[in-house]
Amino acid sequence: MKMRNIEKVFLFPTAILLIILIVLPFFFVFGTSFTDRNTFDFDRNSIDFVGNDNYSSIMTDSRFWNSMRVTLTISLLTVCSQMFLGLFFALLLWKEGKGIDFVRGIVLLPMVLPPVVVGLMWRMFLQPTLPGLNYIFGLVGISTIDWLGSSITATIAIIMTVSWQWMPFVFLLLLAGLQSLPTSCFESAKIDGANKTQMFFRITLPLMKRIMVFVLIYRFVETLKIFPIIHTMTGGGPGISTEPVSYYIWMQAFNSYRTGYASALVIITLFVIIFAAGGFILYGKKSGVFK
Amino acid sequence: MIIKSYHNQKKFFSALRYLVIILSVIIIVFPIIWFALISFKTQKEAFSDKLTLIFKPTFVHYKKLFTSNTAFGRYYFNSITVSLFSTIFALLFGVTAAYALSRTKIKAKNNILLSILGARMVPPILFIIPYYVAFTRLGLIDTRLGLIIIYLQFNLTLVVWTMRAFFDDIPKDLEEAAIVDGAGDYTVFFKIVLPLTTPGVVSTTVLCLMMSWNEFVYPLLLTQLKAMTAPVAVVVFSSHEAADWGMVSAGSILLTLPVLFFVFMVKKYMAKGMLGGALKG
Repeated sequence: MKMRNIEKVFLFPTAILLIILIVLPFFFVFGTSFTDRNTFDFDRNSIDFVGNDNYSSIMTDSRFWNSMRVTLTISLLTVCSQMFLGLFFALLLWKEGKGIDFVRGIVLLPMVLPPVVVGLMWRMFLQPTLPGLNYIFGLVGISTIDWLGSSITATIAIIMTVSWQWMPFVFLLLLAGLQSLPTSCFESAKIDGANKTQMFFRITLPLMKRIMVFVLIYRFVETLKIFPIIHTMTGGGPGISTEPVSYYIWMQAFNSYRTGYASALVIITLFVIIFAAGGFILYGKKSGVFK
Repeated sequence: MIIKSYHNQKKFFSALRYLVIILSVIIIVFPIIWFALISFKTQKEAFSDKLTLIFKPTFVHYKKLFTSNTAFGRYYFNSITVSLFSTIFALLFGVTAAYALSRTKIKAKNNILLSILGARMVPPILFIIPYYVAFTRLGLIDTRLGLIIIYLQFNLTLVVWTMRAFFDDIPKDLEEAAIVDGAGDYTVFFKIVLPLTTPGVVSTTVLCLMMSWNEFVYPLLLTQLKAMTAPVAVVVFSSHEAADWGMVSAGSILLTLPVLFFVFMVKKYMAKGMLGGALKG
């Protein structure tokens, strides 16, 4: 099929831009991952081809695998809690009522805050020296916790923060899903004498399954990018216990200037993302969620 | 009798529902209010053992942001410039390309669209090494122009993917009828199709502005003092040895206000836009 003139004129400049901004950088990283490049300079005299040395070092780089474990743990757990909270709020605010529309707007609030602000906000709210969460816990007799001071509580705090920020996203999409469900199903179920619990598990959930899986994978892939919240809350600490992959790559490239090695880390990370994102796209295509 | 108890039961559940709603809203909103109040408290009030919700507000932190040598005003201006121009360029290139992709009949169409969606999922850190090398060479490190170009990476893909969905919703009969009447392809696009997609363009614009405004990784690594954006500046305040929490809070509030303003203007289209138009309907 031939392209019309207008299509060529409209598509060409954007295609060039996207090639420069996305495709070429990818090939650069791929090429660099096989070298011992240790500078950001363009000059390539000092750079040697080292074959797959970088990749074999990654296999034994425990700090990288730690960061991978941190990233996957946080992504998996936040996605689960977001799904639970999002579904809870969607069901709670599904039926119309007095002030419900206003409340729906309020619930969306966390999602539109800049991630940096969310990170700083929770860091301060959890700080033992400020009268934040610890003060409220104190009112009910729970002693002060230094949330960001130990690895387990810091991980919990991050999961809490990410879920707090992105639960509204899940809520928004599930609410849209609930509102588009055909009412006839519920009416005929009621006539047949089904109770609310039965209707929820036999009708609502099965009808919502497609969109739920879609949101689940989407949020998972998005959370793999996690950076600003961790940067502002823990900086990867204590130690390296909350250091995500993107953080470790940054350290290798900008603190140790091991750009060749960092490029190899990028490629490995890309594989994980392609795996997850590929699942997302395939599911979207197969289930017809995509247009 | 049965009817009466049924009504009572219904009333009870309705009251219970509102109770749960009020509790949930408090949990969601409380940290935000708590954080915002810090910006109006003196250091001593903020760090006191007791949580005070009513106090005499002070604007000392806001004044300090703009008067001392923090130069927050300049970083704020940088953020505005970069977000605005990157959004404008993304719209110029992206809207037209989205239209072409919506109407074209070439076979590669679906693959192009899916690769654009795929590119949106790659974390920015994965692009940072080649960008840094190229920017060092081109002298674009720590410039606003550099950031404007880099932001196109996520803005352009967002515009193409979202706008394509909006163009798909417009029936082709309209265009065909206009062409029968003798209108050219470009006239049809600018005079008929584009005006019809105004809601789409508006919500896409807001999403681009919001993404650019919130972006953190690129300005953190590609700028120093000159072209630093407001989010990076606020984080820098917070990482000082003795962080001035009042100032961090004040800066965060100023950072949040424009986003809130824009988003609530286009609340209706949020769901569609946030997913990059990936969802039906």
